[in-house]
Formats: sequence, structure tokens, C-alpha cells
Amino acid sequence: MRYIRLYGAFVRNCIRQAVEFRANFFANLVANLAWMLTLLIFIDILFRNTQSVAGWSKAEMLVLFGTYTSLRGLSNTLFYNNLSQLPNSIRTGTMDFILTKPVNSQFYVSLRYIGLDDLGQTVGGLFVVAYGWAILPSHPPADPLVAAAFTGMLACSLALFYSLTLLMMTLSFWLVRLDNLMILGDMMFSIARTPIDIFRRFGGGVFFVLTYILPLAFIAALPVKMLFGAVSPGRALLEALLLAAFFLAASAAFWRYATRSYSSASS
Amino acid sequence: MTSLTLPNPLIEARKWLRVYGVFFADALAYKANAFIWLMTDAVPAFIMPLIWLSSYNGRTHIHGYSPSQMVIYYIAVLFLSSVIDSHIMWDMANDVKQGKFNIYLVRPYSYMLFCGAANLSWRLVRNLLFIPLFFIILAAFRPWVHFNAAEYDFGWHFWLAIVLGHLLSFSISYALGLVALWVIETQSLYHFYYLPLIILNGQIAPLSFFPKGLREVAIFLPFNYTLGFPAQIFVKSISEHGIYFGFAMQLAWTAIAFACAIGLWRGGLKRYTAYGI
Repeated sequence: MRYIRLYGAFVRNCIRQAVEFRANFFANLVANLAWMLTLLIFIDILFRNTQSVAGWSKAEMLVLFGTYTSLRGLSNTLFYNNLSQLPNSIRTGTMDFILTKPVNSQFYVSLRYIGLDDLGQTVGGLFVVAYGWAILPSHPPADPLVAAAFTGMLACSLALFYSLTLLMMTLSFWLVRLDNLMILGDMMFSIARTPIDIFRRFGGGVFFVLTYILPLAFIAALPVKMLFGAVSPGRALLEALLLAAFFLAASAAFWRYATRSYSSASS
Repeated sequence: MTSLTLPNPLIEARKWLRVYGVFFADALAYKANAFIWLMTDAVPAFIMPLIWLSSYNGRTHIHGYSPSQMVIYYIAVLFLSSVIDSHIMWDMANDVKQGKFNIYLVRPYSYMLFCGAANLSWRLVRNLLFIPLFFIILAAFRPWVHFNAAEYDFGWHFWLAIVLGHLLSFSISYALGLVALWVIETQSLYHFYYLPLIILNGQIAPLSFFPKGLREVAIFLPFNYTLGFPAQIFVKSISEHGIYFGFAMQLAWTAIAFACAIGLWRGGLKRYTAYGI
């Protein structure tokens, strides 16, 4: 309850900041939409030259890309501006103050700032999903079970986005000089927006790793495949829940281990 | 004093070697960071060929590219991006903003050559780091990589296109860096530059794949002549006429960028007031 009230205060604080630095806010919004445009141009070029990519049609790929982008926007809004600051906080010694605050340190470093400008991506992504859905030659039958499973899987995707980023950024307790560690995450998640089946070309092993070990397939590709009836909803949702729970627990444990063995950088 | 005013080529060479050595050591110290930046380019080099390989659906060619040419094209672009692409404007703008730029003004050598040395040393360190990655990528795409010299163009066209591409990318980013002498907030300008760059520089697809309208505009813009153009020469997917047109565009845009840089430098020094001191 205390944490919910605290989060409310964070949100108010960040809205006030966004209103104050409007120019910056809109510059970021435009930059985000520009990146989306680049990828949409690529998808357009791709499907001028082919009918399907590893079994994915243009409409399906747009739904995939839109879903990924919406989730990414949401994940960025909630976590990105926080977790990307970790190397900096550790290098400059701000981490010491965070650890001495009377709140859970994982809560604070994960949720302190809300990047409202990233919500543009979420809205843009929804438009892409809608467009992809509209040009779909035949719509799958409306099934409440599939819809529920899809929603559940997207919640798991958000949890995976968060826990994978936290796992990676916690490494900065040891790799103090790596101020661009976050870029590595951007790169990793760029795999999640591809029709994951293309990796089958490298053999079943690589595909298995991307599904269960580093579960990038569960972020967008598998929920969308489930939506189009290519995988069974029950099993996909169950696996997604198990993976999300595992990675949330693992990242929290890694965070506790890192903060316990941390001995201030600056003093 | 008179003896000092005469440029002694030996002293000049030693001076530059020293400057270069410092930058090289600096770049090596940040090799972990350099490695991460390298990975950001490397992942598309895996994903792009995989996407295209999954798009042939039994056909032998897409737009005249065989699967092998397609794979090699993207690997070539990756290699070229680490040799050619210059991102020096971010550091230049930062130096101006923080007042560090003053240091360069009082040093006894050309700021432009100094930036050139800094850029080239980063390129070299990147390439050293790139070697293991290069073999991993080649191994991953082994079935599509033919070590048959007849399929690739290693000739002077290719090497000249790389040298000119490097100069082109450097001169544009140098000119953009000097804009910082005029306006303090350059970030959005740079983002605005990167947008057409990443769409048209050949990283997402060879220019010949683009829709006609976009392609006809893009052949007169500088972006494709940094990475896409040399890569197309390498996989032999460009006509003789296209190659000479490309050289002309590389030279023309380099000249334009240098002219802008000289103008920005002259006027900029008068305006520059050394903030941050």
C-alpha cells in the first residue's frame, strides 16, 4: 500500500517534469516514431520482394512488429529511464544514497522515473497492429479463450522485458566502466521483434535457446503466433507464466546478491 | 625562430604519429565499450540475411541477388560500417559544450586533422575487435559463403569506394560537429541526420530494392555512398556506369561537406565564446 502511494508520487513528479521540459519531450517522441518508420520501410521493401518470410505474411509481420513496439514502449515508459541509469549511479556513488533510502532498493531503481515520451511508441505500435489486422486476408475466429491467453502472455512479455533488463543491468555492479551496457539490451530485444522462426535455419538448438533459455521468442513472436492459431493457447500461456515467474525471481535474487556484495564506488 | 617556421616533414610526421598513438591508446582503453557498439551493428548482420534467406521460398534470385550474394552483401555492410562510418560529431559537440574545445584552439596543429586521427584510431580498434566476430558470422552462414574469388570484386573500384566513402562520412560528420559552434543544442539535428542515413545507407537493404520514387531521390543523396555503394561493388550487383556515377557522387558530396565545414569553421570561431569556463 505504501509502495502504491509512493509510485503515485513518482508519477506526479514525472508528469510535472515532462510538462516543464516540453521541447525535449516532443523531440524524444519524434525520434521514437522515426525509428518505427525505418522498420516499417524495411517491412515494406521486404514484402515487395516476397509473399512470406518463414511462413509469416505481411499482415502477420505487421501485427508482430506492432505488438512488439507497443510492449517495448510500455516497458521503456516504466523501466528504461531507471535501469539505464544504473551504471551511472554506481560510478558516481549515487547508489549509496539509494541503498540507504527506507524503501526496497529494487523497487526504487526500477520504477523511480516514468518516461512518458515513450508512450508514443505504444500508441504508434497499436496503429501498426490495427493496420496489420485490417489487411489480414482472413481473420481467425473470435475466441475469448485465445484473447484471454493473449492478454496473459503480453503481461508475461512485460515481465520478461523487465527481468532480462534488470539481470543485464545488475552486471554493472562489476562492469563499472561499461556506460553503454543498455545498448546491449536494445540489441538483444531487437531479436524479439523478428519472426522468430527465421532462426530455425541455424538449427533446432539456437531456436530452443531463444525460446526457453533466453526467452525472446515469448516476448512477441509466440503470443502473436498463438493469436493466429499456430500454437495452442493453453500450453503457450502456461510456459509464458512459468518463464516470467522464473526470470522475475532470478533477477530479484541476482539484484539482492549484487547489492549485498557491493562496497561503494566513490568513497 | 625562423627554423621553426619551416615545416620539417620528419618533425611533422613524428608529431602526428605521437598524436595518433595517444588516440589509439585511448580507444583501446575503452575497448569494452567499443565491443558493445560493435555488437549493435553485428546483430542486424545476423538478422537481415536470415530474414531474406527465409524469403526466397524456392526462388533462385531476389532482385538479381542469389542467397549467397544476399548474405555476403550484409556481411560486407557490417565490415564496411566499422571502417567507414564516422560518428565524430557527438564528441565534437560535447567538447564545445563543455568548453574543452579551447584546448584544441591553442594546440599547434589543425583541428580537422586531429579529428581525423581520432576517428581513424577508433576505426582501427573497431576492426581489431571485429576480426573474431567476422569469423563467427562467416561460420554461422557457412553454407552460403563461397570462397570463390570470381563472385566478388576485390579490385581497385572496391578499395577506392571505401576510401572515398570514409572521407565522405568523415567530412559530413565533421561539418555537423562544427555546427555546435553556432548552436548549443545539436542533438535533434544529429537525430534528424541519422534518420535518412539509416534508411538509405544500405544497412536495411541494397538501394536497388527500394521503391522507384525513393530510389531516384536517394541516388543523388550522399547516404548510399557510404556503405551501400562499396558493398554493391563487392557483390558485383552494380553496373560499370553505376560505379563511375557513384565515385562522382562521393567526390561531389565530400567537396560540398568540406566547403560547409570551412564556412562553419571560419564563422564559428568568431561566434564561439567558450561556454563552460
